[in-house]
Amino acid sequence: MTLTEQHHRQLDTRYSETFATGSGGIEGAPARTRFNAEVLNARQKRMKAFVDSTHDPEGTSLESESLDNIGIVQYPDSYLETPREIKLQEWEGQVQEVGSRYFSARLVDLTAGEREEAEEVDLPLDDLTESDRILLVPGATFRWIIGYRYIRGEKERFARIVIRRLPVWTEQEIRTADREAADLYNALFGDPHNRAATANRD
Amino acid sequence: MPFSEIHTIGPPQPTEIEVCVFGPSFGECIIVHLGNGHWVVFDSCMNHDGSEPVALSYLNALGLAPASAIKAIVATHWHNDHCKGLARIVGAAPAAYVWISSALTTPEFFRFAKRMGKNKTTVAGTKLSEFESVIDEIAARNKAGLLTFGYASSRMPMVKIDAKLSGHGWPCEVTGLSPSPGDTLNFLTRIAAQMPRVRQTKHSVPSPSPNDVSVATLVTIGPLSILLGADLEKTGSQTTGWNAVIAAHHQIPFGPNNASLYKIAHHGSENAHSLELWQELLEPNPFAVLTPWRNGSGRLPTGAGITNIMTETKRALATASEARTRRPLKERPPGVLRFLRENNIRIRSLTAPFGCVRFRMPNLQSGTWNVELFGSACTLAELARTKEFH
Amino acid sequence: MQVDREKFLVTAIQEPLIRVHDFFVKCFQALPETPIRAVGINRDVHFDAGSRQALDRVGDILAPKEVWQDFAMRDGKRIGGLRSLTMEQAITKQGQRERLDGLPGWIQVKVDPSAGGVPNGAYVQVNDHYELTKMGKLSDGRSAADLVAQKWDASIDRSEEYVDRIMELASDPN
Repeated sequence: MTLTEQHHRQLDTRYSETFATGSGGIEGAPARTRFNAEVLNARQKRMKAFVDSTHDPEGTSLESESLDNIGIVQYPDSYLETPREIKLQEWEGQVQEVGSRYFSARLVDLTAGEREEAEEVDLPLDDLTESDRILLVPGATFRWIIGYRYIRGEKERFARIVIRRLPVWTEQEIRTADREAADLYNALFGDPHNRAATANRD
Repeated sequence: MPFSEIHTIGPPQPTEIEVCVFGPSFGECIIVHLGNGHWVVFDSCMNHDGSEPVALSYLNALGLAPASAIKAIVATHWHNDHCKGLARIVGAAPAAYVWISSALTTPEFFRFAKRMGKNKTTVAGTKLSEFESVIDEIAARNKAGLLTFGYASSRMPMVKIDAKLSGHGWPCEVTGLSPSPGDTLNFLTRIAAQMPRVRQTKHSVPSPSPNDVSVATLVTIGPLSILLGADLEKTGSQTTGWNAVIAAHHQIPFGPNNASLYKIAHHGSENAHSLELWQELLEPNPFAVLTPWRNGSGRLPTGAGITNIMTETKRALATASEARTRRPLKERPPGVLRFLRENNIRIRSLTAPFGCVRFRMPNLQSGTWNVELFGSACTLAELARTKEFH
Repeated sequence: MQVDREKFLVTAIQEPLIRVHDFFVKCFQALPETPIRAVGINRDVHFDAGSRQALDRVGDILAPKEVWQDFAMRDGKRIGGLRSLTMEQAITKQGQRERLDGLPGWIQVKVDPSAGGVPNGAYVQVNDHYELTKMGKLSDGRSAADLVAQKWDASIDRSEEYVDRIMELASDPN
């Protein structure tokens, strides 16, 4: 995703000579940008009309940009070599226990559109990266993906376990929650007659 | 017997007492007929195909309308995976009293529940949505001026039916045995430690174990007593768990007689085994029933737990046995199944085999229970013989 | 991740995509005062149509050649074709584009032949755009984080559906 500040600033000459973006040609192919000052210079001479007519400088799509603001490289050279992945199955899991070689987890089948845990599994610790191993504690949330990918025309299967780096509770969320709790509590228990001491029915 | 047979016998007579224990299925459910069409539901779980709370399925199958049949609902759990479907039962029985553990009606717990509710980021992890829905339902009733909820705690009378209205001529009462003040304090201390805070990474609802807010209850119908142990455990302290119940019983006895039927506490765990409970609150050799539990490699009851129970009674039953049901593998793309097979990864369903044990007493004077087993229910001795306990 | 004075771009080229959501939300929870004008949740996919005929089928459905006549076809042979197509979903209210959910912004779906080295490839990009300025006043990082946290799942599900629809065009109907 992209965000754009409203204040468009002119990049100074030094900046615009150092970084370059290219839209890949007048034909309008998707941007494949390169770290190349010559491309930038040539582009600046011929591309202005094209950019104005085909790019939305106010937009957030990957090609949107203002000619006055040349961004830095958008795609690394390795992008064209990146394998394309087809996801066959995705679960979100919560770690229950961590052993010496395996960890157990309860799973939600996201591919089936489910929203509650209905399965459990033991997975090998070796399938995690070193940085994820540190985060593997009971209660940690992870995604487990099985699929296949194409690298230079060759098809191969992959499986990946990634621990989620979850956001934090914000001050606003806590404040809102506390207000809702107080309102609900007062609505239910504010009136002392609501505190039923016995249940004499019938 | 298969589940399809459960309703063929028809509903209990007005003078008959019935106790049905269902589970496990992300929780357990006990439904009690006190007489004359008065039913009380304790907790909730879904039926065997997961389509509906089992309490509603069962009453509908017997030709009874839940809205008029259910007089009270007692919630002894607050995690979704221990009381699934509870909110639907509350919604289906708008005139029924809803009893919630007193600890769950404190401002601290409301704050905890609302803060946890702001975590919409993750899909996995236990939720509190059942509890929140029950509270919403109660709030709506409160707004409509209906006084139909109460706080369950030690010595709280939750249901009272006069002898003239009971159908069999005996008075009926359902009384809370827990939580004690000590249990409530423990619970609130744990909640305070796990309260979400600003700039703290969002985490899931913590494990409910031990269930400090568990509401054990005693059902008395004239001379008959039934003890429902919920998830209450025996702790080290005299002011919490079963020790607190026994201490209170020593001061003023609960009920006129010892119980002839016991829904075993906490899935028959060793932590819930109290010798004093068996000796002071139960008849010798009572009927006893438990719902098994599983989480990862954890299983309840353990072999030692089974031994403890079978030492105290020869009439112990379980609502389910793993060995009795095979669950089909979930359909997945062949590439996924191949990967799992090649890497020796086995995905297990959390949906355990499901069963029901039904107790009926046609005649209070005889004091004799008729027992039926449905689905994968079995004796505890049979459960002990299945491979998981070897 | 790439950042300049105008744009903050987070890209995942490997599953799970949820990492983009987690990183972005966490970042702007830590930078709640950052002035933000707009947020876009983009999903782009290069896919192999399978054959030249299948790729042409996609282009012919999206841009019927009967309309273009001798511009695109001559003597039964193709002399031109679809180069790029962008469709936008938005309602204009008081001069401003508004999404179906009532928020300022739009959804654009772009289809191109793929230049990503994919044989018989097509490229689909879904730009799910949210304008956050109100009456000229910028929004902030806090709001952007909240928006993405709320909208991510639905946005990705919707984008996948649009991508699937385009990919299905490559299938032989017979």
